[in-house]
Amino acid sequence: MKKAQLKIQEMAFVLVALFLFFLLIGLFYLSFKIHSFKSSVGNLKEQEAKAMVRKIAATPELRWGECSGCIDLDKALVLKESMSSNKTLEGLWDLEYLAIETIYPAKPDKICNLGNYPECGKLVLLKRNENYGKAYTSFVSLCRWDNEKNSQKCELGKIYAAGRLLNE
Amino acid sequence: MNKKGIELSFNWIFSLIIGAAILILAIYVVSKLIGTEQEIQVAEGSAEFGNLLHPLETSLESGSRPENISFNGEVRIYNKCKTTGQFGVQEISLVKKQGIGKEWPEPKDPTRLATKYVFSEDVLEGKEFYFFIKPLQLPFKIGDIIILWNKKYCFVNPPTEVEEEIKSFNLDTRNIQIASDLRECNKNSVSVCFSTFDSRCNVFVDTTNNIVKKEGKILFYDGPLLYGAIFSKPENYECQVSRLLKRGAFLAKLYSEKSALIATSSQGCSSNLQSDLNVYSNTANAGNPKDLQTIANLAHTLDYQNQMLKCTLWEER
Repeated sequence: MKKAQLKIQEMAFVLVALFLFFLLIGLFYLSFKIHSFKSSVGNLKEQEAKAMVRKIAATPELRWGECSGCIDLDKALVLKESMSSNKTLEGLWDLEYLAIETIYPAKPDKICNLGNYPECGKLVLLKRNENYGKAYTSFVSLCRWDNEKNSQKCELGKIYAAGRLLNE
Repeated sequence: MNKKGIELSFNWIFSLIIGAAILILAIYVVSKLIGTEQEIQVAEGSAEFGNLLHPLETSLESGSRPENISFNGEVRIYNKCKTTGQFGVQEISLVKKQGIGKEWPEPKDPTRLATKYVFSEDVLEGKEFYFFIKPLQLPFKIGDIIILWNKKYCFVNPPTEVEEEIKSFNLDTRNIQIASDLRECNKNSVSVCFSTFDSRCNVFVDTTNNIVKKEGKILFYDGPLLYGAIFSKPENYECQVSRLLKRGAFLAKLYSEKSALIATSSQGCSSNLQSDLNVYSNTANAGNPKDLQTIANLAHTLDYQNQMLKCTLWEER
C-alpha cells in the first residue's frame, strides 16, 4: 500500500470517528431534552391539578354562594345524575377523578345516589378510569337543605381531584 | 508541468466531500432541533398560560385584579373562542418571539378550557398584559369573565360606577385613562365614549340601552359584560356571550332539578320556580347574544322569587 493511500485511510477513519463522536453527543443531548421536557410537562399538569382543586368549590356548578370554599351538596348530586346521563358534561373539568366526601358528622360508607342521599358518605362526580393517579385534596363545607330541621345545614367535608394521566 | 496541483486535488477533493457531507448533516440536525425546540416552547407557553388562567376565579368578591402578566421577551397571545360542544371552548396559545429561525412560530396545540371566558382581541403582542376578572351573575353565578388587554384605553365621561370600579382595581392610569373630554385622551389610546356620541371615538357605549358600538357592530351587554364588549374583538365577544348563555341554560336546568329534589321533602318548597327556570334555560340555550336583555329580565324575576323562599336555591350576594 502506498503512503498516500494510507494517509487517506487514516483521514477517513478520523473523520468517521469524529462523526460518530458528535452523533453520540447529539443523542445524549436529545435524550436529556426529552427527559426534561417530560418532567416539565408532568410538573405543569401537577400544578394544574393543585390550582384546580383549590378553586373547584367555587365553580358555579358546585358553589354555595354564602361562603367561600362551600359546596352545594344538593346541586352536586343533581349534577352527578346529569353527568351520568350526559357524558359530554365530563368536559366541564379536565380531570380524571372528582369526588366529595363527608367527614363530620360521619356518614355510612356508601356512594351517594338519588336513592340513598343524604345518608351516604361519598359523592363521585367523575371517574374516567380506575387508574386516575394521585388525587389532590382540600377541606370544604358541604351545605344542603335539611328536611328534618327544615333549614339549610353545612357539614365538614373533603374534595378530591386527580389530573389527567400523562401517558394518555 | 505543475505536479503539485494534481497531488493536492485528490486529498483535498476527498476531504472536502466528506467535510461538506458532515456539515450538511450537522446543519440539517441543528435546524430540526431548533424546530423541535420552538414547538416545545409554544406548547409549554400555552400550557403555562392555561395554568395561569385556572386560579383566576372569583369566590365571593365582586371582582378581582391580579398582578399583570409580564414576560422577559416579546410574546403573542392567541385567543380563540369556539361554540362547538356543550359549553363551547376557550383556546389559548402563547408564542414566544424567537431569536433564530422563524421569528413568530405558528401557534400549535392550544390550551383548551371549557369553563374560561377570556375577552380580548384575537392576537395580543407585547411583554406586559393587564387583566381583571368579574363574575357574571344572571341571577346565579354563571362564570367569571376575564378581561385581557395590552393597549392603552381612554374612557371619556364614564358613569360614576364604571369610574369607581376602574379606580378600585388600581389600574395604572397609563393603561386606562379617565377623561372628561375626548381631546384629553393620549394620541395612541383607544377612545371609549360613554353616552355622548362622537365619530372620532373608537368605541361608543350607550348606557341607556345597554349597547356598545365597536368596529361597525352593535353589541348587547348586561352588567360586567360591558367590559367584555369594550376590550374584545366583536366576534370574540359574541362567541363568549353565547358560551356563557349556554352554561347559564345548563345551570338553570340544574337549579330546576335541585328544586325538584328539595320540593319532594319540603312540601313543595321552591317548586313554583321550576317553570320559570325552564323558560330561562330554553331561551338561554339558543346562545343568542341578542336575547341578553330578555334573559336579564327573566333573571331579575327569578332572583326576586328566590329571595322570597325559605329554601333558597342559590345564595348570591
